[in-house]
Amino acid sequence: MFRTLPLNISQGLAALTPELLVLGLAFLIIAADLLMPPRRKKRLLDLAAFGLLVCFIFTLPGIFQPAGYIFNNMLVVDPFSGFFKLIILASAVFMLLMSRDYKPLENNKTGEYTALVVLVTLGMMLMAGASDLLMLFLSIEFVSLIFFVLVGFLRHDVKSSEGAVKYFLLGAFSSAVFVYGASFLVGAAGASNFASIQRHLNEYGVSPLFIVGLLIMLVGFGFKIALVPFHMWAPDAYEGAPTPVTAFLSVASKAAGVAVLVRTFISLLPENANVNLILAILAALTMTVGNLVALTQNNVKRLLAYSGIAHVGYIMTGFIAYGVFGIQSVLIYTLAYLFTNMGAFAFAIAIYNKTGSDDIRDYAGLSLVNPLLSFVFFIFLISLAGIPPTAGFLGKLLVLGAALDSGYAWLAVIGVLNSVVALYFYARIAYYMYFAEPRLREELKPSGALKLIMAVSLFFVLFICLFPEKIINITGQVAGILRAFNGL
Amino acid sequence: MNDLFFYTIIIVSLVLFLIGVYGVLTRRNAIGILMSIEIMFNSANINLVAFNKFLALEQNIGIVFPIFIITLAAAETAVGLALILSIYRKIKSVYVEKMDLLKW
Repeated sequence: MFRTLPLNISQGLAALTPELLVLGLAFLIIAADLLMPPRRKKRLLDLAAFGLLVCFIFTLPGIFQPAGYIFNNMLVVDPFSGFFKLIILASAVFMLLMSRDYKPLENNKTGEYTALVVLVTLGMMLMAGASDLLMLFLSIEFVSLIFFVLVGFLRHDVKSSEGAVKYFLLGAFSSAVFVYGASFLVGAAGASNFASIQRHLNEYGVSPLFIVGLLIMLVGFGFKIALVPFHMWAPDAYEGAPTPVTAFLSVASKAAGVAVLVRTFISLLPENANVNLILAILAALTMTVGNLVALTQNNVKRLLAYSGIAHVGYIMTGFIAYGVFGIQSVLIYTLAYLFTNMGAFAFAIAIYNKTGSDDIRDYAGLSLVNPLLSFVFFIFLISLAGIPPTAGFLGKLLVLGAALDSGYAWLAVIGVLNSVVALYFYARIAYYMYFAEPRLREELKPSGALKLIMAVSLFFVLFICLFPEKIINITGQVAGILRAFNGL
Repeated sequence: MNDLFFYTIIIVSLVLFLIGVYGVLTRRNAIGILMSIEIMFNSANINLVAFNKFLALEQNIGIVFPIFIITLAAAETAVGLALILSIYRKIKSVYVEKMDLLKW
């Protein structure tokens, strides 16, 4: 069987190069913020985006490295964490580029904002690699605390503060539930790092207390990734937050949450534990409620929040399949979700800068004056709905395939029915753009950065679906190593 | 005797946890909710320390973990109070039913 020894400290530091670079970048930005004249502070966003791009390049070899524990089993470096670190870094770069041109953020404490974004990126990268309940708790808190502040960053805006307070109260509640569950896990297995817990489980088997603790922890995770009975905070926080933060919250924070959830359950839950049915019911509920509530939304950010909830349901569907194929489908779905959502939010920002509104009805007749942009947005919409030839289609296909493969045919049926429901509200936006009486007869003229985001996203949304071999190979390897390294 | 003591502690922590959950669900005051959340954190601390005392835990993790929890709970309170203060300046209230701008 595939096991590597724990690495020593210097090897650990070498394996953590990307994280250390991100940390250095955060300090650099705090220092530069003090020295720069106020009118040039916008450069800080460019500096951070460039720095994170460099870190992205340093992380690239991470998806081909062998797996190993570092720092006394606190963290694990493996292709799986590398993959999620890449997704997080990519979305952070997109997010910083979006923030450059988002009107409400202009001349509004740019230095603090940039430093917080870089730090939260570091926190999520640590989350992706956490392999100890203590490290897991610390990194989740690190990320949550910064996101509370980022959501409430527009201090003159009541909506932003209200979203932040609601997000804070539910986020803190979920952390408390999470840590209570973790205390049972520590008690039942006698240790907090995954390697020792696995050894304990192999020796003594799994006790009921352990399963109870894991399920209580699932409630905590459920809050973080907005699974359905625990999703109430998401729409409020998404609507109140500045739009780039919404995009970041919906992609990176969800990706990090999924990474943690998958790793915890793959490495700590024995296959004979029979909690898959609970997960399957949660997935079905999440998809259905997310899509049904999205039907009545008129605010684009709120609509994307509910559609994001539904997408988490699909990700859970793939995850229930558990095997290599299931994990692979989760990875590809997350990748597709990254590019599609970032593109859609970039478009929403372009419109907001023009009209000052996130209402769908203000999208009326956009295609008349902006045919090309509208068509690009249309492609993002069909990718969200899961229609070929887009990345969303490939993701949905694999996720539902994985569910069928593992004998959850009823879940796959619910998934398909849900994508029909989802088609309605995505098509409704397209209807407004193409057929409604126009309200705005000006050209949008998005800035260069927004154009770049949309172009890159569009390229990958089409590329992933049209040439999937390479990505399927890589994700297959990543999932295989995770399974071999962590499987019980 | 020892067993009985152990279970008493676990039950006390469970009761504390449930009091916290009850507080979060029924309190209307944001600061009251924050206090209930602190109670929930402390129930986890009691659990961990009891496990450390009565079961053989690796590396005394049952003592180390609560120290981190206490520190983070303090940090969380600081951030939370700042956010509550910032909304109090606008709507002159800390009651959650007054925060009704965002719904559905």
